[in-house]
Amino acid sequence: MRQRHFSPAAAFAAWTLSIVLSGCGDPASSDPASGQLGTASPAADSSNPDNATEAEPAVGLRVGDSAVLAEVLEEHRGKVVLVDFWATWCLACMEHFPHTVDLHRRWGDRGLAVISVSLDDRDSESRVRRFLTDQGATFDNLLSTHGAGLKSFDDFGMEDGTLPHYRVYDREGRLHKSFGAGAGPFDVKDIDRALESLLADASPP
Amino acid sequence: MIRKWHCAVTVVAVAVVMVLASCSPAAELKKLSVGDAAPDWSGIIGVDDKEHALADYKKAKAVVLVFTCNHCPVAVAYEDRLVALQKDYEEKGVQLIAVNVNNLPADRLDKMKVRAKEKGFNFPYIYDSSQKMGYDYGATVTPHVFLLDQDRKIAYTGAIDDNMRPEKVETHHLRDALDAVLAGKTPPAPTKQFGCSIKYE
Repeated sequence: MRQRHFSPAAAFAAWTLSIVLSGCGDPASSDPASGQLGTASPAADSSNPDNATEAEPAVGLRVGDSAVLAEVLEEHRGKVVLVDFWATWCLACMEHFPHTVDLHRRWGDRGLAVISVSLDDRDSESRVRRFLTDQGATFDNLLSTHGAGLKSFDDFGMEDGTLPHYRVYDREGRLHKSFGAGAGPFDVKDIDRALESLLADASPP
Repeated sequence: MIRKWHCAVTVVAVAVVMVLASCSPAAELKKLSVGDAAPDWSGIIGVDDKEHALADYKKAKAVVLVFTCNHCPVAVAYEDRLVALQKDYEEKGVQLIAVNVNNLPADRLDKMKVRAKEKGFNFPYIYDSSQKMGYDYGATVTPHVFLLDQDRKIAYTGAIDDNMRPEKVETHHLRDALDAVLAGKTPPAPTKQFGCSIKYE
C-alpha cells in the first residue's frame, strides 16, 4: 500500500518542481498562473490532458461563494467534512491535493465528505477543472465567485490571506478545527488525526 | 581528579548553554500598526551587490517596502505592477524597495539577480537571508506591503490591490494610500495581505 502511494507522490513532486521551475523562468508571462499546468505536462505520467480527461471519471465544479459553501456543508450534515481551500497559483496546495483525494477514497465509507474550494479566477475554470479531473476529485468542488484576490479571502474568512487552508467539520456541521499558516505550522497528519477522532466519535446515522 | 571535575562541569555548562540557546523562543513575528515607527534595517545585500539601509532613502517622501520573492506565483503576478508603480511615483519622491526573506533555492540572491534583470526592476531588490526584516515587520506572505511615510512611520499595510489579475482589480489600495500620504491626508485603512506564506526557518 505504501509503495503504491509513494510512486504517484514522487511523480507529483517532480511535476510540481517542473511547475516551480517553469513558473520562475518565464519572463514573458504577465500572468504566471496561466500556462503553468500547460507547461507542466512533460513530467506528468499522462502526457495528453485531453486523453486523460476522457479516461478519468467526470468531476463536478460549480462557482460559489461562502453562502454556497454553507449550503453544501448542510447537505453533508451527519458526515464529517473536510474542506480543502486551494488554488492553481498555490504550489503547496497542489502538492497536498492528492492527500485530500486519498482521504476521500479511504474514509468516504466511514462517513467522510470532502469539499474543495478553488480561489482561482473564474477565467481559469478550465484549468481548475483539468486539475481536479487529473486528480480524480470526485467530490464537491467549488470555484470562488470572487476570484484570486482579497474578496475571496474576506468572504471565506481566511484572516491570514494565504493557502493552503483546511477546515474540518463534525457530523453536526460545527467547525472542529482549521489548518492554515495563520493557525501555526501544521502537518497533513494533523488533519488526518482530527478527521480520525471525529470519524471514530460516532457512526454515520 | 579535581581537574577532571572541572572539565566535566565545563562540558556540562557548555551543553546546558547550547540547549538553552536552541530552546530559546524563536524570533517572533511582530505586528505593526499604522503610526508605529518603521523598523530600521541596514547592511542588506541587494541584486546590485551593494549593501542597503533604510537610511539610504532619507530623501524619499515615502518608502514602499514590498516583501516579495521569486517562487510565488502571486508575487510574480505583481512584478509588472511594482515596476509601473515606481515609474509613476518616482517624480513624486516615492522609493519602492523589494525585499526577499525566503531562502528557498528559487529565491536566493543569484536567482533574484536573474529575475530583477529579466523584469527590468527599477527599484532595489534586496535579500535578507537572516529573515530579520520579515520578523521585524511581521511580514507573513508575498507580496506584503508596508508604506512608510515621510517620518518613516507605518501609513498602510496589506495588499497592493484587491486582485491577482491586473485586469480584474477594482481597488488600488497601495496607490490610494500613496496618494493620500503624498497629499498629507489620512491613508485608507490597512487591508488583509494575500499570497504565498513566507517560509520562516
